[in-house]
Amino acid sequence: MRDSGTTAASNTTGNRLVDALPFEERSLFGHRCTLLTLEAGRVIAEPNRTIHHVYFPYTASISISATDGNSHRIEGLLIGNEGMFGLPLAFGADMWPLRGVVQCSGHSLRMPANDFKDAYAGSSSLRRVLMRYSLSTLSQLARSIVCAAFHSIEARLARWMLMTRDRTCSDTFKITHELLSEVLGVRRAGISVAAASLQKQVLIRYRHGHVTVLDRAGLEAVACDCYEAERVMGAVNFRSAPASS
Amino acid sequence: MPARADISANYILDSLPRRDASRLQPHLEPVDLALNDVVCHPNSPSEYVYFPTDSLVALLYTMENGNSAEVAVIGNDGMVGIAHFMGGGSMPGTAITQAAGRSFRMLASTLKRECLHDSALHNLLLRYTQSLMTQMAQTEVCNRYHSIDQQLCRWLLLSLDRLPGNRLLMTHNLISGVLGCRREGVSEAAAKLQRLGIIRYSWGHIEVCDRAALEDRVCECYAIVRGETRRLHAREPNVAVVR
Repeated sequence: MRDSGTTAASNTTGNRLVDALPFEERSLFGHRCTLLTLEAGRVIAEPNRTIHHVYFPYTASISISATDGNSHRIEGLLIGNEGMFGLPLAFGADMWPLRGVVQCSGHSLRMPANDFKDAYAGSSSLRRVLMRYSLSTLSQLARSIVCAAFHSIEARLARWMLMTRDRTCSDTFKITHELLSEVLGVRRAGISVAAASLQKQVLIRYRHGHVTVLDRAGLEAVACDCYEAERVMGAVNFRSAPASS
Repeated sequence: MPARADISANYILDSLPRRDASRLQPHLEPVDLALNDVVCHPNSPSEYVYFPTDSLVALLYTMENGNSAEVAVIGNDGMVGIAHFMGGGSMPGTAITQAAGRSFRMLASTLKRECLHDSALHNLLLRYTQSLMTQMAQTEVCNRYHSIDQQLCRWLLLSLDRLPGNRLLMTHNLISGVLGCRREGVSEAAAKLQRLGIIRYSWGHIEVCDRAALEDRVCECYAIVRGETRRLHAREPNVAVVR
């Protein structure tokens, strides 16, 4: 039996994109989704392979990374409850050369590709919401390029911790130094040093792969500008869209 | 007075069905983009969108402290001002002319009117958005893991692909800002390519002499971006080409 993914009381799902849909569409949309648990490390899309499902995470986070054919990778996008995985399906393509991997375990809505294409074709609200989301995605990508080029590992790590915290709605999550070194595209030693520094400043506790955010304001002070810039843009994007199509 | 550029010199305009192209034609104004012209200012919506025909526009993301890097290059493959298409006003970056040349511009308000759901223009711009995203994501990997030499080759090749013919004319000075790394590093890499006869400086411009050599030296990133652009272009079987 399919879980509709909406709570009876509030008719909200916990994914901000879905919740940005008009009230009367949300429930129907939710009914076309399955609610499932995503385990960290699960590959949900390989580069240049057909995407079969779109995902609207609640508490899971999904990392989108580009690779160079030599197993080098770096995270370009982090997707959680603010977004959707599967934009190529909205763009009229069925795939892209990027890899999608579950970063932090959690819950997510999932919709089959064909159902999504139907929903997309049939709802101007969904299209509007997704176009705004695409714009914030482009901005996140642009920012990541410059962030990776110029910002210190510590500032980038703090930013990533905050982004993950926001997207999973949790102050605790699991991630290894090894994985973080792939995400940020730096050597593992660099991650260890940066993580130790954040711990020393009592901003996080990080033991045995478990991170707990202790001081969010403190982390924000250490994080690079990219975090604040994205939050501002996110706020702009989630103002309710006008009713007319 | 230079000959008026044909709209078929831009891929997106060229791919429109004849009827759509005819309807748009009166709204497409040919303009010359001069080197370093700021086409779009950061975070402030431009009134126009641009379809380059033989010019290049770089999207630069600039930090508070002035550090900047190019995040994408737009030429005859695309459109400057994609944010208008997405219902927003602007992207947090500067669009600046990197190679002077011609372009068509159109009022953003006209674009919004023309981009109804499932119109040919709408679908072309959706695919172009994916092309841009791919270019950006690949730039991040390239910047992080590959040598400045390879990054420069990638950037030169992507630029060449977005201009007619095989000639890339742009000033040496601009190259340093492009890759978001030390100016000396880029200058060294460019000097090396010049010593090898792959590029040539003439009259303050850089000219690519041996494209094949660039393709030999470049990392996989170029093929990945080119492959995706070609794949997206190929998905247009029902659109009549305007000639």
